[in-house]
Amino acid sequence: MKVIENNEKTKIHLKINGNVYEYETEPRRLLVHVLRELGFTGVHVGCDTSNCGACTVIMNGKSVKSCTVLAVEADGSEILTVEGLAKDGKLHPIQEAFWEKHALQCGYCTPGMIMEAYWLLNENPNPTETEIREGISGNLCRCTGYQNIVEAIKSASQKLRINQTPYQHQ
Amino acid sequence: MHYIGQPIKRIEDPRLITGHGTYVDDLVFQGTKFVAFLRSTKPHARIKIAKREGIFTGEDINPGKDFPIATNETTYIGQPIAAVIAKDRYEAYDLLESIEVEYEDLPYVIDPYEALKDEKKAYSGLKSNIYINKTYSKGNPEEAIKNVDFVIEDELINQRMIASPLETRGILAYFDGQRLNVWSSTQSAHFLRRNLVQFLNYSNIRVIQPDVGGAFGSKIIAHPEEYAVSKLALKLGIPLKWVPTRTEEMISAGHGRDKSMRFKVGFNKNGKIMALMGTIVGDLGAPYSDANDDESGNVLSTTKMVLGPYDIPNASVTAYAVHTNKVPTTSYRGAGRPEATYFIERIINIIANELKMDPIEIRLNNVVKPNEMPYDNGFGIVYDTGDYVDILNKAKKYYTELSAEAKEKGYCTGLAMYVEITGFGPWEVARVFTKSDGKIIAITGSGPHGQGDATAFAQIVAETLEIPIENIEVKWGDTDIIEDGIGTWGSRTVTVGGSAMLKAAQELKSRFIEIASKMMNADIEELEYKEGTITHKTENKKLELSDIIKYAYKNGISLDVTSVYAVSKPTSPYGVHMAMIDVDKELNKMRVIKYIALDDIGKVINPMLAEGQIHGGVLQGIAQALYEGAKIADDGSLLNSNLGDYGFPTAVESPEIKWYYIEKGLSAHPTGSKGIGEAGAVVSTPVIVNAVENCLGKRIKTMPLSLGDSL
Repeated sequence: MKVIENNEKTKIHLKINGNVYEYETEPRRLLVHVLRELGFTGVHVGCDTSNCGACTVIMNGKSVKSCTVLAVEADGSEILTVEGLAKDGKLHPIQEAFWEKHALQCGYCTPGMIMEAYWLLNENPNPTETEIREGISGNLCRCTGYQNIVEAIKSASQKLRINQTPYQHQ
Repeated sequence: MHYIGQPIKRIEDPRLITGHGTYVDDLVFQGTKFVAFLRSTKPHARIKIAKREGIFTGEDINPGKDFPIATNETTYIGQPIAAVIAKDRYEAYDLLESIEVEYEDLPYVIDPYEALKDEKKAYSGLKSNIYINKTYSKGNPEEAIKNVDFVIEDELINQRMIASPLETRGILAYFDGQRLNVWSSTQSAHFLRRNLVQFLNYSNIRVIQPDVGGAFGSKIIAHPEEYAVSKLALKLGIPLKWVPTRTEEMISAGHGRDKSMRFKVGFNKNGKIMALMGTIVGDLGAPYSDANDDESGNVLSTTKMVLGPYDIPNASVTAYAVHTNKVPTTSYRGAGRPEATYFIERIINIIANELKMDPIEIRLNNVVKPNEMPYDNGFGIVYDTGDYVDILNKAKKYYTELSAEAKEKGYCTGLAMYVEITGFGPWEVARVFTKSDGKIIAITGSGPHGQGDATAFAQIVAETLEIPIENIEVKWGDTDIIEDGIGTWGSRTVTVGGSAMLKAAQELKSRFIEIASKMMNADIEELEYKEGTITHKTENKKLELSDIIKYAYKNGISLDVTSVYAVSKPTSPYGVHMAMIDVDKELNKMRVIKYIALDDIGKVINPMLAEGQIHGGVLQGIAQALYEGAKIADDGSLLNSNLGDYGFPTAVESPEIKWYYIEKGLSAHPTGSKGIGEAGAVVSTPVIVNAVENCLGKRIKTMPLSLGDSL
């Protein structure tokens, strides 16, 4: 059994957007702060009670609020942040759809919202409007009134299904 | 190349959808230390703080004074009373727990009506709790009310709200030995600079507004913490960062609205209002002057706008702005106009229900007629252009359809109308210049923080210069890159900032033509400018912009234009909004099913962005009606100080919103536009409350309705 004292640090490894990072951290430090310190400043902090979802990332395939995970708990996990979505400068269809449908204003909820949408469309490639709204109900937005976000996710789900068709038939 | 009026995709988005925005907490300098504030847990008390190394008090920031940081006497729960500086935020919050504070309780006042009696002062330094007491009058309401068919007296409450942008405030300040550099989550770099220059009595200050995660009015003023961190940075010479927790944000900033109106209205059988009398009381909270200056103006806005788009011949309304021991209130989206619209539209609905009149008919019987425009409302506001009768008639079609659907499905409908004041002065600045490689840089003195004005500015510049929008880069938010600026608030940016931008672009275009006339040895009248090419009308000569730019730099001619656009008076958009809602009386649940907005905001520069403003504003207004409100206990503490308890709506609560616009009442500004940033929040609250009231057949006085007080 490994025991780390209060004021001690321990080494952790995180695979973020495909690259492995080594980090020394106190046990109390939150994953969100470690991700941000490692340069993933697209991961945002919007609250202190796990309501807003601005810190949402994909951890081992699940969308999680990284403000509610200790960095030491995340040791060894694979994490995807919004910075890892675009490939070779080409936007991910969800990012494209957010741009086209004007689904962001101040942009502060956007990275978390896009990651939640990414998870949602993985789980349910063809969601209804109600499923989309419920699917992003852990992500608060103060600017958009959500309507264009819902439209963007609908449009992204179409794009993704069209893109995936030839792939699935291979 | 027509860009104005087109739904151009935002030039702001690529950075933000890839996580490459730069908000204030994304910035770090080597050696940056973290600041945290200890906050008062008492509504009113004398305080003594044990001074230790690493702990800074009001004496270090504002010796002998209690604002911005309380030194001897604290006047609200949440007021900063000490600061600590630590290696990082974890240690800063550890350190906060070690501070010893002695409180000696003083009498406090939470209810504004009690505060008006002046028996208990919110602060010992006040002569009176009453900050403003002003009456606006027209006609003879006392006489007129004697001769009407009906009189109704009642009280309406527009509760305290918390703006709650998803990014809190935050600041990074660094003194380099000569100059204080400040990055802040603010609505205007220039306004914050002016505030800091005055407070610090030091003028070598550069302020940068990086990306800002929304504000909704809460980041106009310089907050106590911004003054304190700037002062400490200047003193200590190390980079200092402050970012509050959400709980701190909610107990100390973004509080707005909080007004009530006691009224007496006299009207005739046809619903025509003949007299309105009343008192509007606005709760300013504690006496922090930056906030009080901001919000007391909003109390007056409420009062001056309370007659709405209606021709009410006799009226007298008294405004009180009063101090209590609560968080100092500030602007929140609409800044006084939502309360005005709420009061009058609720009064109209109450009358319509009393007379069993159609909500559009009663409004048609009261609105200012198109031939009366421009219309002086008698309380100091002039509505410039528009046709209120026409928009009501257009709304009729939508409302009839909506009502039929509601009847079929067992839902209820409600409607409200608004007139707004937007595009405040006193001026705004734009700078447009050309790099030697042909890139056009457009800089605004305003400070967008989500509204997408940069795209609108690029549209304006591209259309004026007749060049592709991709050639234009728009910047803002740095006091070093433009002469000066006012800021983004009061739904002024596209209209006032855009008019400055239009002027600057036009002047740059004239300069291109002048240079071409020199180069071609021709009179300006002989030349024609088209899509960035200048041709001689009769001779076979032509010049591209790139030739002109090359020539200008070689011959020492500047291609850098700054325009200052001065504004004399605001401009008034208006509209009619309606909603269909589902009221479940048993479960005490209310849900907005459909919402239709019909607005005239003059020339629409970018309909996609304007619609986005409506979506966002409407949901904030709906949330005020149904879900949100600061719950303040009798001891002055905030009971719902997190985003879960506060009632912040999610995608599940937000309805389908349809937006329609007409362009009948253009403004006199060069853009022809009027503001829309606040309109949605101004009108949607009474739309919803009217709908619920129509449903229940019972008068509603308080919000939010989902708390069940009204059912």
